[in-house]
Amino acid sequence: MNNFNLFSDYLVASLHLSIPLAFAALGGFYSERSGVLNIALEGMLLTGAFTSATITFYTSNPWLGIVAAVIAGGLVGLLHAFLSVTLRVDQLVSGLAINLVASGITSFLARLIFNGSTQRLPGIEAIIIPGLSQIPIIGILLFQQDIFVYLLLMLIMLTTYILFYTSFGLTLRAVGEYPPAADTAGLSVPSVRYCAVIMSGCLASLGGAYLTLVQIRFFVEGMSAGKGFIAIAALIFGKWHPVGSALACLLFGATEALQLQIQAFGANIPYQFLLMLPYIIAILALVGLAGKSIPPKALGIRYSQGDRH
Amino acid sequence: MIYLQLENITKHFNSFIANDKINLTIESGKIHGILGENGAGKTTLMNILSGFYQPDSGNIYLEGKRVKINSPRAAIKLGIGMIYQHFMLVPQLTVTENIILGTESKWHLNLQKKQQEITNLSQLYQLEINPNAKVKDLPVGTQQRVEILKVLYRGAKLLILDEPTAVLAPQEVTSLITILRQLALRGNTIIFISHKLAEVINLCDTVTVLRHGQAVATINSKNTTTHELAELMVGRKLSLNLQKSPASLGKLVLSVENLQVTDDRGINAVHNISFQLREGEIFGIAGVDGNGQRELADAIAGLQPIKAGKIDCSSVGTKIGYIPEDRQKMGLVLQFNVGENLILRSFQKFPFCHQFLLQKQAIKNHAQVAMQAFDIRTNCADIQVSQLSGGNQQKVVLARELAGEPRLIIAMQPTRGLDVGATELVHQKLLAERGRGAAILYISTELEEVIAISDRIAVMYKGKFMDILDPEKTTVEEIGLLMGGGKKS
Amino acid sequence: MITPNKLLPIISPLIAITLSLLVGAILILLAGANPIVAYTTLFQESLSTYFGLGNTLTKMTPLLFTSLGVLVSLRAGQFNIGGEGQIYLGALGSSLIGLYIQGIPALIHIPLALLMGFIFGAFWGLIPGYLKAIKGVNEVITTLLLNYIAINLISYLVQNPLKAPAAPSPYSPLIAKTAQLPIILPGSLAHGGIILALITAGILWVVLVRSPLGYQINVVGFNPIAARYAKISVERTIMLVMGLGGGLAGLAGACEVMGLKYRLFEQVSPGYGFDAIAIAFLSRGNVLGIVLTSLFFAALRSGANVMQRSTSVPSTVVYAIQGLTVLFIAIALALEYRGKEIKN
Repeated sequence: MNNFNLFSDYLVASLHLSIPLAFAALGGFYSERSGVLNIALEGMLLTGAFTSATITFYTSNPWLGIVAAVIAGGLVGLLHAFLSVTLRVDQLVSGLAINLVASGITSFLARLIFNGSTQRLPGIEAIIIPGLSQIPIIGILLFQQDIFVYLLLMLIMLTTYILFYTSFGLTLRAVGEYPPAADTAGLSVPSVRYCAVIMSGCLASLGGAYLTLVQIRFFVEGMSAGKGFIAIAALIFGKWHPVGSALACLLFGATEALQLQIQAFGANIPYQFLLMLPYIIAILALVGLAGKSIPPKALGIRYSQGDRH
Repeated sequence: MIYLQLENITKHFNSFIANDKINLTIESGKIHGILGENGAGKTTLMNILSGFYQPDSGNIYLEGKRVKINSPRAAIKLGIGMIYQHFMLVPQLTVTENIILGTESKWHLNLQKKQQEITNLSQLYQLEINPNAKVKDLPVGTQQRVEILKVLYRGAKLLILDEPTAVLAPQEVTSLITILRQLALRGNTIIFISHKLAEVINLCDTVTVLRHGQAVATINSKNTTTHELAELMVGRKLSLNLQKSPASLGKLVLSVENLQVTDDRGINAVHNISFQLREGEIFGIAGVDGNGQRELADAIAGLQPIKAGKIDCSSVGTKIGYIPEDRQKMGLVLQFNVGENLILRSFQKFPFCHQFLLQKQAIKNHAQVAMQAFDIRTNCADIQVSQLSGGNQQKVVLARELAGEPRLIIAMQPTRGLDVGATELVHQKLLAERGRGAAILYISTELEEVIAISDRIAVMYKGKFMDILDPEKTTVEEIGLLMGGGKKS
Repeated sequence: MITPNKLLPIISPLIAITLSLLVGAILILLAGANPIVAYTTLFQESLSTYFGLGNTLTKMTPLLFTSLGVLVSLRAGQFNIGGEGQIYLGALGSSLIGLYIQGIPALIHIPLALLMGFIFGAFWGLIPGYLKAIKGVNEVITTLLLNYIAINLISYLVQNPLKAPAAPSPYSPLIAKTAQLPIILPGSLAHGGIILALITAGILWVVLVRSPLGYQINVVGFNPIAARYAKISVERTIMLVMGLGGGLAGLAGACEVMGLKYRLFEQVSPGYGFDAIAIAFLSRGNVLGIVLTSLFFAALRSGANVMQRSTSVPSTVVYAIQGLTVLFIAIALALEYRGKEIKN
């Protein structure tokens, strides 16, 4: 019976740890499917975490915190889009710059605002669906989660549908694979890319909001700890498909969860090796997939209308 | 009835006049050719008609009504369908998805219904396609049909085709011509942009020749000849014959036996090719792009591993000159200047490198000598090669590859994108090398050139030599047939 | 003759730095302090006081080494974001030599420890280099992920096998005296590492600008396809620059241990690896620019603590300023690129 609970706890922990990754990966998905490389997911996660923490701190209302995070994330996305689509800055440089700025400014402002206080923020509680939540294992996993999880599941399904069965999805795929075709069909490549990148900012930010409002309940400098980069690895591992990438995030979350459960399993592995594990797995995933996971053809390449000829 | 009229269309780019008071009328149901060299203004005119640029002055009339074509969307709405030389298709999407791209904004794409519509349309116009196929799996000729269907689906009445036969095999060309004639009979108006004289005369009812941005003549194709058109295009009397002395063959330079080479994807690109090359000989290889020419050239140059067979050029040592088919992508480093590009193969050798350091003066001197010998025109020797014209860029490549008197020269599409003057120089230099005793492999899609310059011609199709011919005894038609996989009768 | 075009590579970084200092001033105002006072304190302390200058030079050493590492990789078109992890590995390598080898003269011990630092760092750079060159795995993500692995690895080692007996917090024993770099400004923290770094910068300049190896690296960076036609091995060049870049960052870590701390701590670098990226971009690939920018960033970091103490502006404002400079220089570069495009 004990092992059963242990396993159930482990699954739940894995799920929880994968949520911020999955939001970020979903955001990265939209951006990269439109052909814009997005290394700034880390910075967007951090922005979302910081903004939701700050607004919740001042207003004691976590829902406002969430809204603020989405708006802030959208603004960061707007910046990345402006830099890489309009100004045609190299997309890698733009992403890196945003990460550096986000990290610097959030660290600085956090000192001013929180001033070392570790007072827990009011968070978001789980929603329990009566009846269904009594089912062993699956009950807790699927029917006793907070709104973020349900939202994520919906978004994943919605995204899959959008990509393959709507005009927007078709346009998105065309812009990411061969922009001149979309251009000459009368579509605006920059508009699509702006839209996609702003969305990626909003989604990644939501992941950050989850960190501060559900998981950790306060803001720590640099709390994203590379999750934005693991999300990118998950995207590649999932072959740029919403469901595949989400599953990859689950895998990485499971790896991170090992660290928390390892004492309970009774093994004597130093915690640092367990901390390393998600990153090692991510690298191995990338190596294993090399050559077989094909990105959108136009990913990372600046495009302007003159490039048609 | 006049369908399209252009009145005094003019377009500047800074001080460069791309289109200079161009006047044009085309009747509906007719096929009108636009001929011109690179830089003559064809592309600009086409971009104006498809809504990409706006003319600085002048008017456009469609069916007698004055129109403004402000954007590609506007052009589509006016019934203008543009078919580009490089297809505007997304390879990873299906035919149906490509055709409906950008036509509507829906939350539910009814793909089944669309597929049916497209199948009906393709049957109506007799353009056979499979709506479910992914574009990247289709042969080039079929992809072009998808492009045509795309504009017809959007209701195009005026079709503009830009160099549509550049990548087609001869039978695919015949197919296309049939389709275009049919469309014209149905009342569509067609503009056919090309630099291939024979095709234009064959297909088009009327032809306009552009030169230096101006429309220098509009002629009925029945009343002219390819020679007259060529002279109008270039503006001077042409000598289409090269001064070629009879071949005096020397020692064996290259021997290829049963060669098999695979391409980057592991597919066999060269199947069992054997031939020999001697000093003082130009061996031409004709064929449509993508039939294994690149893999063959790379293998002989030592850049691609061989799967089976033998390449023997040991008597040559390492003196091989290789002129690649894309000078900007493969032959030059655009950010380097002329001197730095010239030492690309020899930067580790004396005199350019001495005591572990590059010798600036030696590099500079070398550049000056080369620029003189090859007539490379530039204001300043220090600028990046990206600023040079296509012709001058190719001269840099030539200067580098022909330096040091190589015994074997591999030239891939050496005159691609070059104007007549630069083309003449390339041929001159290669013939000079031949006179010096070099063996030259001349691989090109330009049949007239290959016939004029080669001593022997091989026709390559799907990785094999269909036949090896004597240029003086063969014809363009015979070679064209072999290029398309047909057998010699 | 100095034309406006030639001045641009110098002007745009200056504009970027000025703009970011301006935004930084806004942040300082938010913290309730006077920006002019704050900046004066910061720069005065770090550049015009003896001890402060010593501090600045000390911080400049790892910044300069690591930025040179980023630059080398960048010239071949590779984005090496793994400087942080490579610094950690270099620190480890040199510590091992300093801890486990005793009784040899400094003349041998110091070069040996530096060499081991270089090798360890180079190894950490070669992993992503190999993965990129041979397996085609994007080096940005692998180098980033390796950072976290390196930090955790060192953390484990310092807490367990390498921990000094009876130490109240995780750190290693002192390294041998003969493995320690000499102090060059007596009474301050400035050690011989800065001289090594400057010499390395000079050598690297010669190699990149004047040698055939530098030419080869440039060809691979500008046009790998043409490189192949010139029979240059693109794979080997990529691995070379990633290894070399890692090794240079490793030297940064080695100097931190051998010149500043004399033992291995859990936190080897406070983010120098990321600063290095900013520095490399700001300097537009120019070695002299890297030297000057490293000095600037080092001054920022060095004076930040004093500024925090006297004006209570959080020292983290310098991170914000550094991030902003990258942002502004990226914009400047893009505008320049566009300017060139329009001219053509």
